Parts: sequence; structure tokens; C-alpha cells
Amino acid sequence: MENYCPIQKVSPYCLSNVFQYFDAQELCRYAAVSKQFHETSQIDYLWKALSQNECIFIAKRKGKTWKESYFRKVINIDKNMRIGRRDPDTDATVYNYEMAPIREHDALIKQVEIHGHLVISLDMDGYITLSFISYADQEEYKAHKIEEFAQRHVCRFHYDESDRSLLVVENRIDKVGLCLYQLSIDEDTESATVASTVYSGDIDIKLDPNCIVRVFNKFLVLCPDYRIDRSSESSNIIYIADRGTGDLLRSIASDSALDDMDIDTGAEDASIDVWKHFGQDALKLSVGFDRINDVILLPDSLCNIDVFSTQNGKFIVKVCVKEHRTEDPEDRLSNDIGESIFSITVKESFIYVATNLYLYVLDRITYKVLTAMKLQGTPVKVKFFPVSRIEVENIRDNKDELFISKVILGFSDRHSLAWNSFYHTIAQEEAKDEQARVTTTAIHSLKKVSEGVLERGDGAHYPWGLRRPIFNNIQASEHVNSVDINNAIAACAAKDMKVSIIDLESGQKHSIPAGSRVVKSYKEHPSKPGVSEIKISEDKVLLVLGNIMRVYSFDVDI
Amino acid sequence: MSTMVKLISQEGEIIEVDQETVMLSVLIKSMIDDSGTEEDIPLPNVSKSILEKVLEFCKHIKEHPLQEIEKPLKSANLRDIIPEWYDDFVDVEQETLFEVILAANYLDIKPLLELACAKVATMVKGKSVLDVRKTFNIENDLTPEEEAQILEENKWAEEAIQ
Repeated sequence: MENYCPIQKVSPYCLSNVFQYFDAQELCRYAAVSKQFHETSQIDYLWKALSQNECIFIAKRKGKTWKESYFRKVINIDKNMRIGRRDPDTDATVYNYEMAPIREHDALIKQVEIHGHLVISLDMDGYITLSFISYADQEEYKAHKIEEFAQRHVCRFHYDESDRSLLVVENRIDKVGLCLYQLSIDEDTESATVASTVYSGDIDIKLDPNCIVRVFNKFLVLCPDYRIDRSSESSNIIYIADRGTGDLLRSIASDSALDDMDIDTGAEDASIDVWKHFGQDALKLSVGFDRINDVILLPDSLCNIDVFSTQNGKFIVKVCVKEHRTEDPEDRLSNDIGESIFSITVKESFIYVATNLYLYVLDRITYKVLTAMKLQGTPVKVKFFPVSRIEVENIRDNKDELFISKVILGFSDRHSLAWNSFYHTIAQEEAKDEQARVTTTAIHSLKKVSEGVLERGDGAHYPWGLRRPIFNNIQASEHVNSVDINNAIAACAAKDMKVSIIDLESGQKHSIPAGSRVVKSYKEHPSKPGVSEIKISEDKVLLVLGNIMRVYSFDVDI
Repeated sequence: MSTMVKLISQEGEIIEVDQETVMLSVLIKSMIDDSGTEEDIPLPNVSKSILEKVLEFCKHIKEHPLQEIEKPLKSANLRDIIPEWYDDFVDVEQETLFEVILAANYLDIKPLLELACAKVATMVKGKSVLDVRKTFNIENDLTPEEEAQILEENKWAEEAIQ
């Protein structure tokens, strides 16, 4: 019996149940024990399970294994962006990245978005540039300028990543110009260009120069900025157009909206199928106060909620501007709150409203407040990073809770940035139906979550829980111009050219150089000097300095 | 009174057990669903002694539910993670432990499989490759070239995630 080895009776597949208890280092290390162990360590789902168990969000790339994706995320991106590595020569922590300086604009940059390797930017002269960061050399990029709008009044663009369409909105005071482009992204030549113009046209409406432009699903919403005194007649009207055709669908006097009334959209008028795009999963949206990275400048007195929705063929505008308060947090929103609202986001079945005091979670269908969480600090942003349905379904079914999405809250005053992150979970629970039969709200009822009917009975059991709260503060030395948060890091950009990046898990902070404080090779933004805006994506940080951009790519080999 | 079912072990011996206890096994449950409780249930892959141990687990977990063991393991001492009874239950000879794993896998009893595998993982955790081989009496069947390649493949990764 000297050579008797009972573990060899177990197949690699069965042995993978043992390997599921290992971390990444152990999975690598024990591959060298024997052929059986090596074969087991090569089972790719172990790496998927590990990323789920460690709550690491990994975007598995086409053609790549889970192991490769895990290491790309944990080693390349996380090491470079969040944790850094020790330089053996200097003993200092270093963060690796490649930086592409984008100098395509003469005028100040007005709006910028980053989608993977594509950066879309709009300047004050109306030029829009598509800059594609090279995969091979992330310090290089190819730019394509859309010049049709030069010297005109482009106020905003909206890029839809799903169909690669770019909507450009012009506010020409007496009319609104709309132009929808189809972009072509060639990954081989690493370039983005305009492939065709889907439509181009005008709408004869008058808008304030400060009009807010939003796109939600298939709708373009143009509305007055509630933060500004509305003196002119034109600024009190909300316009809704079809994003796909440019047709004006509806105009709504916001005075009536302020009365918190339901507006019949004429759903019974068969000639106008305004809401044909809306189904039961109709959008609810917020307007007026969640300008990108501008929210920290909101006045304290702001307390508007505008939620547009469709229910049973009706279009509802809810605007809450009253000072009424109640002591019961659950009643606050339903009775209109008096708190300052900083951000509203709609995701799945819930509406999340961050005020200066609470994060409220509302049922998307009923508007009932499901719960309210006391916040620390002043929130600036609520962001959501849902796990895909497939991942959720793959989570072990004997857990008593399911993790459906990660929520990040950002807080800031003008000199500090803080954040809080937590996970939503769905508890498995039993309930009795009308016939007193026991039914289980189980994993397979996930569908119900997206339909917003998970909650049963008296509502005493909230279908989500709080996990892993984090709260940290970072003091910025000077005026903070811009903040952004993704599911791993928070970042803020200040007047003094300091860009701070904070790992949300550990609180570890580092900074990246945004350029010289003395020699300024860019046009300084008058109200946001220094780094005027910051955007972060999964692996990139984009800085705007007046009329130039710097894109830092952290997905580099180390 | 609960319904009794008859399980036939590898050795052909009959073990009578109440239906509720064995329904933890997905295999047995599906056999009962298909053929009812009247027919004997043959389990040719499970010896009598292991079957009795499995049933001991099934009876205990009914009264004392076992929380899911966190992955990856945070400790090499199972007692830090799970109740004493369960730790004692898997504190057995290696041969028995792997027989339990095979039986749990065959009978499709997930909590038992997870418990027994967690025990094996604690026996590996923190040990060097050589110690693991020694612990489980594993012969290194990798050629020097294969071993070198595996070490090379994983060395950078292991260092990088430290």
C-alpha cells in the first residue's frame, strides 16, 4: 500500500470542486503537482468561478479564455490602474500606462465621451472629432473630424454604442437642427469615420441657449434648465423628438408639469402612435440636473425631480419641487421631498434617487419607495454596474442571496471626493400565495426582478441588501473641477492639475500627471482652469484640459 | 409516518432509510420520481460503509443546515469556517474522504461534495508542491520538461498577483 494514492481515483472534473476553493495563486501553483492537477487547473470555468467569488467584474473578450481575461483584468488593468506595483530599483509604487495626447481642437472642448478605444469630442466652434486610440500603440490615435457644423451651434451629441449612431443636436435659437450619422469603426485600420447620414433636418422650435439635451432610448428630450430662472416663454416647454427620424413628437408646457399631473398623450388618437416604442419596460428618466460631471456645481436649493414615464399609454411627468417633509423616509418621495436631488438613475426595476441626505430606491412601476439609505457627505453621482443575466444565473444556487448589481455613489463638495459602493442582492425567501401555498422566490424568479414584482406581501422584506460598504475621503488641494467613478476606481480632477485616482476597494490613492502647472500648452477653460473634465472607462482615464485631451490607457503589459 | 426507501449498496446489502433524508441526493430523488418508493434503489458505486456515512450527513444537515463555505478558502483550518460536527465528519482517513467525494459526486449531493472538497482544499492550502505530493502520496508523473513549462507558464502570474 506504499504507493496507494486515493486522490487519483477522482477525475479532473470532480477534482475541480476542490480547486474552486483555491485563489489565483494556488490555482497556478498546484498545476505543477501532477498531470491530474495540471489538467484540473486548466478547466476554464474555475477562473470564471474565481472572478465571481471574488466579485471581480471581467469582460471576457472574444477568443480569450476566462483565465486570460482574469489575468488581463487583475494583472494588467488592476495593477496599472488601481494597485500599482513596487519598482525594485526605487522601491516606489509605480502605475503603468500609455498616454495619447489628442490635439484636434482649437476651441475649448464642450463635450467628450469615451467608448472603448473611441473618443468623441465636441468643441465650442461646433467641430466634432472621432479619435480612435490604437490597440497596438495606445500613445497613437487616428482622428476624423466632422466639419459640417463648424461655426454653427452644436449643443450636444449623443452616441449610441449599440448601433454606432451619432446624433448631433444644434440649437440655432429659432430652430433646432438634428443630424443622425451612422459611424463606421474599422478595427483593422483602427479608425472611426462617418459612413452615412441617416437624416438631417430642422425643427421649428425655440430653445434657450442653456437648454438641456438628453437622449433616452429612442427619444430626444429638449428641456429647460430648471436651475436657471425661467423668464422667457420658450424656456418653459419640454420637447420630445424621435431620435431615429428627427420628428417632433410632443411639446409639453412645464408649468403643467410642475403641477405633478398626468398628461394624456393622445394614446386614444389612433393617428398618433407616439409611444409605439414604449413597452411595459418603458423608460423613466430624469432631466434637468444630472449633467455629466457638472453636478457638483448644483445649487443647494435645487430640489426638482422630473421623471418621465409611460404607463398604460399615458405620458407622465412628475416634478417635485415642494418643501414638504415627513419623518418617515418611506413616505418622502411619494409625498414630494424637500431634499436636494443630485442624481437619478433608472436601472432594471428600480429608480435610484440620490439626495443630499438619502439614497432612495423606488419601484420603477409604482414609484413606491422600497428603502432609503442614509448617506454620508453630499452625493454627486450614482452609477450602476449590473452583472449580466448569464452571470447571475451561473451563481451557485444554494446561496441565500443573489448579487445583481453593484452600485457606486460618489460624494463631493468642491474640495473633496468620497464614495460608497454596495451590492444589491436578492434573498431567497418563501411566501404564501392566496391559496396559502408556499411559493419560493428563488433564483429562477430572477425575471421578476426586471419586471419589478419581486416584492411580495406587506413589503416588509426588501428584495435587496447592503454589502461591503466603503466610505473614504480624499482631500483635494484645490478646487475640484470634475469627478467620475467606475466599478473599480473613483477619480477627481482639480484646478491645480492634480488628477487623483482612488481604488474603491482599498482606498489607496495615486495621482497621474496632467501636465505642467507652469507651461500651459492649451487654452485654459475660463470657469474650470486646469483639468476641466475627467472621464473614466474600464481601463482608460480621459482628461480634458481646455482644448486638448489626454487619454491614459492602463491596459498595458507589465 | 414517513415513507421508507430501500437502498442497495455495492455489496448488495439493503439499507432502509426515510425518503425525506435521501431526497438530498439529486440522483435518488430522480429515481424515486421515476419509479416511486416501492422499488429498491441500486447504488452499485457506493459501498455500505460510505453509504452509511453519506446518510449520516443527510440526517444531520436536515436539522443543522450548513452554510455555504466561502470560496476561495480564507483559512486552512476548516474549524474556523464550519461547525465542529461537520469538521469532525470529514476528519477521516484519506481513502474514506475520497470515497465520500466520489459518492457525493455520484449521488449528486452538493453540500456533501462541497464539504469534502473543502476538507481536501485545506489539506493542500499553504503547502508547497512537494508537500502536496507527499501529503497525498502523489507520484510526479510530469516529465522535467512539462514541469518546467508549467512552472514557467505560471511563475509570472503567481508573482504578478502577489
